Amino acid sequence: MHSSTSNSERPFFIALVATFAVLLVGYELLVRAGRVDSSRGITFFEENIVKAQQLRDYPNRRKESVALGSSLTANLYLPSLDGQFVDLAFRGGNSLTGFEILQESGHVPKFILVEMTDTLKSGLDKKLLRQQQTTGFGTLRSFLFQTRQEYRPISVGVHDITSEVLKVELRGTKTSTSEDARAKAIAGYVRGQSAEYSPKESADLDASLDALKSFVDEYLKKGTRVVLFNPPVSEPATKAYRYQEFLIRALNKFPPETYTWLKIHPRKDWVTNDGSHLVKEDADVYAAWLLQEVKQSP
Amino acid sequence: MIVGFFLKLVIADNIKDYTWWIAFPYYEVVSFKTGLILILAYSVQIFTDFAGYSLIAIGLAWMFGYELIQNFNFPYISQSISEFWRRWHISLSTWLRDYLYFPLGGNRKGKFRTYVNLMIVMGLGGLWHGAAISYIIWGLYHGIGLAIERMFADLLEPLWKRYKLEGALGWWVALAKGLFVFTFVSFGWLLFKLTTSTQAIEFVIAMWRNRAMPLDMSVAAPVILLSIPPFIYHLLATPRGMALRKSWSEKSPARYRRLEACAFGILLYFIFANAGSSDAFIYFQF
Repeated sequence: MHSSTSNSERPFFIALVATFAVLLVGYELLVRAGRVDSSRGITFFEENIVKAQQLRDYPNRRKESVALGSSLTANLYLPSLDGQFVDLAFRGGNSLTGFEILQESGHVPKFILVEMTDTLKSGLDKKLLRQQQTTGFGTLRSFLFQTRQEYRPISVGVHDITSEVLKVELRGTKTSTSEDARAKAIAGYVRGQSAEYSPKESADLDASLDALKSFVDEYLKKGTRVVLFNPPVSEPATKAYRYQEFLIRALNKFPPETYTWLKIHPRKDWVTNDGSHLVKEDADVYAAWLLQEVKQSP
Repeated sequence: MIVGFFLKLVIADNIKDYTWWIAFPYYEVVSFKTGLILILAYSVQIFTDFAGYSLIAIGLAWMFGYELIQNFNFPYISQSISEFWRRWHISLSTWLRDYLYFPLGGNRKGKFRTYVNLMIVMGLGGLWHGAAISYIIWGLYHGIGLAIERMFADLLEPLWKRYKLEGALGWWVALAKGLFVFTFVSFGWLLFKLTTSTQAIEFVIAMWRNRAMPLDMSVAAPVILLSIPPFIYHLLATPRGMALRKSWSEKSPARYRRLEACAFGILLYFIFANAGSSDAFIYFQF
């Protein structure tokens, strides 16, 4: 065995620990003093964590309306259009994960908008939930603010460099994709959507719809108004097997005579980057229409 | 061990949240410049993930009294593909040399046989990573690279020495060689990252097709920022970096040691404050 720390190594360890402590305390003071701008998350996964943590860590920021869904809903940036919305739409996730996080927070909003797409077949985002549920981290976040995802030093640094120095919009929906690349991506998406569900996918989708129904029924009982909606995709994708099959199953599980569905937007020629994600301009158009419809729906 | 944890948790686990763009169908909308940045990102990720893992293992073993061999020796400063393989995954490359290359005759059976041996050994080395065609192609890609390099060395080395070009061009030659090897190795990683070799070709085609598209700074900025520490880590191992460290440590050993301690303190802080979302080590799949 190697010998333990000798006297000659003590200054080394003191300097190491002191540096760590100075950074820890110094950065915490900067955060507490409001000198550090929080980051919205510099990656899709981090953006999801920030959203989930903010709902839990800032009870005073909770709003009466909540939007649940996947990146299709996240790209609508509803809170920027309506200050009464909390965005719990997770990239790579779905409405089910949003419901789980909402339930864990204990928040009962007045209104919930639920995205209904076949992203539901992937079930709960266990990685995100594990990150949320790890014992001790919630407590640590409440007294050491720098452990909140939004204050991670690299994320804050990158956020500042990209948004303040380079003036780059970190918004997920981009329109920089060329026509050629877009056509290829849409064709690939439609090809994927045209394949029949495997037995496992089919079973997963049914299980997710069942779980979603439990959540919806639970919040309806609590007096929350729940509206289901199916966001627009590229027209060829709406004719694909999976799009159609999902709607059949979803409407079966959530019959329109019992549950509130938002009507489908009459426009057909939506422009997407990849078959499913609307380009920025169209996402803005759809989001504005969506909010107007939501206000008018019973 | 602190360096190992830093490389894995802070660099690899954060940078992986960008390299998922190197997957079908996402790469179809990646621009040429962004694609290059992503290739760089994956090179950094695979190095920091695997070298980090090796350093953690070495550190843990040392705590229990075992001394394991060094598995990575700053591979991205290599000046040739053969040097890269002396610095990358040393435990595997040494095994391949001792148990495959030497028994096949190594370089003792003529030039042509040497080239063939290099390709056989690297092809089998690729197969070691998994029973997939893309791994064999990756191995052969390196084998062919090594063979061509050897061929050029056989042809050009006498001229190189005769006209003393190495000394005349010095630093620039070293930089060009280093960049070439890094680029060669980095493009090879596409065969690791993507599930099929066809996708690797499609990735490059998509990059070319989208060459008019602008660089996506929301990907480039964080990737470049996260690549700075591994870059500095490698710079410190270059002859100039080593000389600088030596002169500092000789001038004032106590101050140098304190500086080292502060550097470790900073790394430790970032491990605490900025560890990425946990993910399995890439090499666990092999």
